[in-house]
Parts: sequence; C-alpha cells; structure tokens
Amino acid sequence: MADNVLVVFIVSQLLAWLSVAVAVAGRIAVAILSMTLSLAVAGLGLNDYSSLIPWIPWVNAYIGVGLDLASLIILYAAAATTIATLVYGKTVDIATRAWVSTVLACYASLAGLVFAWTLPLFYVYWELLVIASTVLVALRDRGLGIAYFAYMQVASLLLLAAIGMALAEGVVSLNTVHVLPPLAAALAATAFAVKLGVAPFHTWLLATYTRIGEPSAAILSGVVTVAGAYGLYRFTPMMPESIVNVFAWIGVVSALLGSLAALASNRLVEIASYSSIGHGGFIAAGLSAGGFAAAGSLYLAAGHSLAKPLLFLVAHVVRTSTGEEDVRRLGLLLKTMPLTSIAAFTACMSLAGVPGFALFPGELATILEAAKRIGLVFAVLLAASVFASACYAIRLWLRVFWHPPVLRAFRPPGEPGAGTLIPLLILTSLCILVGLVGGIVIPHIIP
Amino acid sequence: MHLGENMVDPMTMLVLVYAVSIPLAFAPRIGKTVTCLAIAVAGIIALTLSRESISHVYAYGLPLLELHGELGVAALLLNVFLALIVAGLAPARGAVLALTLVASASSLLILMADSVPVLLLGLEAASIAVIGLLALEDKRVALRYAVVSLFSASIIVLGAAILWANGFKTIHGLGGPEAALGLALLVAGVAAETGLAPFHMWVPDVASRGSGLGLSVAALAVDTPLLVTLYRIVSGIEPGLPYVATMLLVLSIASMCVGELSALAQRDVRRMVGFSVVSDAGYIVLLALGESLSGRIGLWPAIVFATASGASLALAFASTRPGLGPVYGLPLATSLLCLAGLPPLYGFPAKLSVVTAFAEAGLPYLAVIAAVFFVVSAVYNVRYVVVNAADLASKPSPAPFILYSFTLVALGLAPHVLMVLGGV
Repeated sequence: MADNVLVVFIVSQLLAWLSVAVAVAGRIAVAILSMTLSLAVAGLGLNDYSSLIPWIPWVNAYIGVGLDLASLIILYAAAATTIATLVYGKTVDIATRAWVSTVLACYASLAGLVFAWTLPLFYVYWELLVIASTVLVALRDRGLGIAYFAYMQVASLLLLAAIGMALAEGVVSLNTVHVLPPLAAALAATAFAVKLGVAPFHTWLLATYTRIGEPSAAILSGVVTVAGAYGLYRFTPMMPESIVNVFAWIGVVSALLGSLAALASNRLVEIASYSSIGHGGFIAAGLSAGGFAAAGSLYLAAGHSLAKPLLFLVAHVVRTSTGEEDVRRLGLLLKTMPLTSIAAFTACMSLAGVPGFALFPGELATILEAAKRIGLVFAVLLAASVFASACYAIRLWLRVFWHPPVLRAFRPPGEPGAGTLIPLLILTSLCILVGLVGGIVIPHIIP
Repeated sequence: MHLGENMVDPMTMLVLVYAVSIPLAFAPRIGKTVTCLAIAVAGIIALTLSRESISHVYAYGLPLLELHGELGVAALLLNVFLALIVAGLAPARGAVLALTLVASASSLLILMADSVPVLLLGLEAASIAVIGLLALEDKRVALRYAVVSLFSASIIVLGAAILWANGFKTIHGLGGPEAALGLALLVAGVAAETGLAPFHMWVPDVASRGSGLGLSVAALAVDTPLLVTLYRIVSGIEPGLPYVATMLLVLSIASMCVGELSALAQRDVRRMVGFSVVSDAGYIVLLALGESLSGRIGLWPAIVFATASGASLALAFASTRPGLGPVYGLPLATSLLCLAGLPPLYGFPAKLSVVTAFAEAGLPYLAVIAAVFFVVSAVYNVRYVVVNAADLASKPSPAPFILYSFTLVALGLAPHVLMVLGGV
C-alpha cells in the first residue's frame, strides 16, 4: 500500500493538466474546478512516499513521488494565488484562453514539482515550469519571453549538471543522507538562486516583473519563483557546509540590497519587484541556515507567495483605476477605496513582517534560529533587512492610501467592482490566516 | 560465431526482406506500403539478431558484424523512424522507394560493422542512395554531398589500408604507435561524413537546399549510425595515443562551439537544424572520449543521444522545404523541442544521459561544458518555436508524422523500455 501516493500523484496531475486542456477549450470555470479537485486529491498523499521505479536505468535515474507538509504548504499557497489571480483576471478582462491555460500550466508544473521525490523527476517538472512561465511572459512580449527563457534555461542546465553529478554519485532521491559534491551543490544552489531572484542572479527579475503586467507578475512571484525556494529547501540538507554558508551570506546581501532598492523606488510594480529580490534573499539565507530556520523560511516562502501576488494585484487595481503608478502622484485612496486599502494594508504589513500577518512567523523563526546557527551578525543583518522592508511597505501604503499626493492634486477614484475585490479579499484573509497559524505549523515542518 | 552457423536464419530473413522488397517497391499501389513494412520488419529482425549476449559474426575468418542489444535497439528505432518518414513524405515512385530500402539496409551495416571494410561498404551504399534521393530535387546539392562522401570514403580507405597492413582487423582496440596514422585518417574520414568541425562547411548548405526526404534519410541511415560507430571506434581506442585523444577533444569542442553558436545566429530553420547536426556530432565524440578515458559510460548514453538527435533532425528536415520554411507545424515544433532536450520528449533522457555520463566518468567539467552548450541549443530551438508559434499552429500535420511525434514523447516518458527491448 506504500504506493497509494503514486495513484494520488497520477490522479492529481491528470486533473491539473485536464484543467489546462479545459482552459484551452475556453471553459475557465470548469478549469478552476478541475484544478481545485486536483488540489484536494493531492492532499490525500500527505506523508506518504512511493517506492522507486526505474526510468533511465543506465544513468541511475528513478521515478519516485512523495508529499510532506512542506510540499503541501507550498502547493496550497500557490493554488490559492492561482485561483485568486484567475478570478481577478476574469473580472478585469485580461483572462484570454492562452493566459488562463498558461497560468494553470504553471500551477500544474508546480504541483508535480512538489510531489517529485527523485532528482530526475524534480528536474522534469522544473523544466515544465520554465516552459509554462516562458509562455506566460512571451504572451505579453515575445522578445522578453525569449530572454527570460535563456536566463531560466541557464539555471535549468546548471541544475541538470548538478543532478547529473548527483546521480553519478548514487544520490537518487531527495530524502537522502548523501552529501553532494561541492561543484554540484554550487551549481544547484546557483540555479535556485536564479529562480528565486537572489542578487546577483536577479537581473532577469525587474525587467520581467515590470513589463508583463501585474497579474502575470503575481503568478510569477507566487507560483514560479517559489519553486526556487522549494528547491533550495530540498537540496540544502545535501549540500556541503562551505557552499551553504556562502549562499547564506549571498542571501543576506540580497535581502538588504533588495529592500533598500525598494525603499528608493517610486513605481508600484518596481517596489514590488525589488521587494521580491529582498525577500528572495531572506528566504535563501534562512534556507541555507538550515534546521528550524529552514522550516521558518519555507513557511515564509509560502506566505510570500500569497502576500506578493496580493500586492501586485492591488498595484493593478490602483494603476487601472487611477492611471497612475508613481506613489508620489497617488494618495488618499483609503477614503474612496476602503476595501482595496485593507487588501493593500494586509499585503504591506505582511511584507513589513508585522506580527499577525503572513511573513512574520517565518521571519521570526528564521532570525532566531540563524542567530544560533550562523551568528549574531548574520541575524542582525537579516533583522535590518526586515526593518528596511517595513520602511518601504509602510511608506507605500501611507503614500498611496493615507497621505495626500506629493507631486500634484489628485482626485481618488471609487472602489472597483465586487468581482475584482473578492479575489483580493480572499488573499487578504489567507495572509492573515497564515500569519496567525505560523506558530503552530512551523514546528511540524521537518527539513 | 561464423556466418552460416546458427545465426544464419535471422540473417537470411533480413537479407530476404530487403531482396524481396526492393523489386516490390516498383509495384504500383503497393510499393510504398511494402517499403514501409519492409523497413520496420527489418528493424525488428535486426533487434532479434542482436538480443543475444554480445556476439560477433565472421565470414572466412574476417570480422563482419558486431551484435549488441544496444545496437539492435538503435537499428529498430532508426528503421521505425525511417518507415514513418517514408510513409509521410516519400512519393510512390519505385526508384525513390528502392533507394530508401538500400539506405536502410546499408545503415544496418554501418551500425553493426565490426571491421572497416564492412563500414565502408555500408557507408558507400547508403551515401549513393542519399545522393540519388537528393538528386531527384536538386542536382547541385546531390553533387556537393557526393563530393563530400567521396572525399571521406577516400580517407577512410586510406586509413583502413594502413590499419589493415598493421594487423588491425576490427574497429576495436586500436592502439599503439602503429595504429596512430591509420586511426587518425579513419576518424578524419568519418568526421568529414558526419560534419564534425572543421569538416562541417558543407552541412548547413546541403541542409538548407536538400530535399526533405533525402536529408531525413541521410540523418537516419547515414549520420546517426555513423555517429554510433564513431563512438564505438573512439571509445575502443586503447590508452597510449594522447595526441589522437587531444585531436578528438579539440574537434568535438570545436564542433559544439561552431554548431551551437552558428545555429544561434540563423534565421532559416534548415540552416539552424544543419548546424545542430554539427554540434550533435561533437557531443558524441566527447562522450566517446569520456568512455575511452574512464570505461564507465557504456554504449547506452551514446545510443540514446544519437538516436534522439537523428530522429529529431530527420523529422525537422521532413517538416520543412528549402526556401519555404515549415510545411508541417506540430512535427516541426516537436522535433525542435526534442532537439532542445525539453521534457517529456526523447531529447530529455538523451540530454540527462550525456550530462550524467560525463559525471560518472569522473569528468564533471565536461558535464558543465555540455550543459552550457545545451543551453544554447535550447535557446535557439525554443526561440524558433515561440516566434513562429502562430505560423506553426496553422500548418497541417500528416498522420505518420503525428505518430512520429508521439513516439518521441513515448520514448521520453519511458526510455527504460529501450533497455527492456535490448534485453540488456
């Protein structure tokens, strides 16, 4: 009966990819239903692991699936973001068949990735996620899509080289006690850092997020880049300490740089994009620190995949309602858009690491454990990055929703329709829920 | 095992299949069906022949053929793909079908050759068939291909003569100073035929102007089997020839560089695919060097990579016309994505096999080099598909090519079936 999870995996994947096919046929509601069913089925495989099935025997490659709490948390967060973004896209008329099916393909790929328990299967879904996200970017701008693909393909093939070396060393599955060769570990960590947008591997992120439109950026930040965090979470226990330490410090530097750059930016999407670089760095640093910090950072990644898309969707609402995206030209929206303001407040407070919101439990666990494992200086720098995040997040909310505009007089528009607000409020509720239950969930995540 | 012993029955069957089907290819109405079936059946018989443990076929004391399960699988795959190409593309003309059958039979000789004369016989016969097929549409292209084939054959003959004179009867275990010159000439001749840099200049030109059928047959019946045999020759080189190894290392990396980077600069899909031919030859030689140095790679990674590459190239050539670009949408997209090594296509296990093989051979830096060139390959292939997505979606797809595409997906999903088929 050990292979129940294999059946769960197959059924869940069939339903997920069926949702893509249904979306291609133009039935968005049915597609979302199929996706939700796939999610429900996936949950049945919790804490179950299949035996290994030979796949490419001459290179020691096997297929094996399994699902633990960490995988499930990432999957549920990404699914919530996907559904909210799809509903939002439908109400604001950007949900073409191609866009919906591509978004669902991103989700289906991630749903396979979190089940993958062997290295080659992990890589297959990693590649599928690259392809689906490339199409998502190319739908808006073909040239940008090709550039994005080139960047992601470099990361993919670094990962492929790392997996090749791991297979050669006899490392077959992800829950192994083997230590990867240093070169393989460095290549894999670089691949995940690229996906996560950790500086200095972040150069794709800003151009992509700011040019593909906020809803697509929400999917990239909530469903695609989270795969980098998940990969790092799975691989760091197999990495030599020297490599992990280097990436921990790279993560801290990225966290600081991203947060400071967000503080210096004035465009809404730019702030959200730099914020992703900052939080990507924080997550990488925490995952590299290991132990309870890794569990905290994984939870943080899940929270981030709810809060950041929420911010992108709010940015889209604000831009389309006002025609402005410079925070200095905006203001006083709280008076006329109270519900949107609440959603924005939740997103900003989450990103600021305020207690009771999505990112707080993960950040707290990471900083406390990192102080023990790596040192006080490391923890202080992480805390400094959280402080910088709080500064830009609070500045953003105050500028856009509370204070009068700085640069010119501005007449605030009214609240958007209920169809637009519902997905925002769903994500808002989830951000608060994740913030409240973090203390209960994080101790159960075992790296 | 000697010819005429207990291997005679399947061997006779194989000869009979070709002997009977070549005249029948000229029969109206049934010619094309007979040709497709004969090629596929020949592939199955070749696999049956090879499924036993490693064995060699001799005649009059001379080594003729080498029969491995891996080589049998390669023969089966190449013949099945060739049969589908014929079904989808070949006109129902007796001469065309007969030439295709000759190419198919010759490809088995190339693939399983145990000595240089057999290799040369297969290569010459297959090349003549391809020249004939190319000449049906463009005589200048056929002439160019003929010149290259003659050039390479001459060098191979020279190399073979020197090896023969020094007592080397088979293509295995070539080593020692007395084998150096003969080996260098043999490898240079095969390199010229397969388009390895710096002998690659003819490949993109022929690829951009040749007929779809001629080029597909060339890819499946000449290029791929020859690459497998090149792998067998190079991987069997005994240690002690560092200059030959260095020459091959330079040739292979030069091929990968020239092929992948030149393909990146192409806009014409035929030329782009033509440069892929050059780079894929480089990967095979690099793999062979890895096997020669470590002895830990084996034949599977080379078989999988060569067949994945050959099958994709053949489908890409078959789906395009010189000057017109794509004529069949789905098959072209599948072939390019397979060349890019994206899952779930057959190119993915091939890519993973190559990278892991280098790591297993204790040469991780070669794994990284291969991965870097795979990035370039993925970029130009995917770029073409993304940029021309709307055009490709509007093109038709004949049934045999849809089946061909599904076969590439099936092999990508379940590559271990090949090992089962090979009985290894």
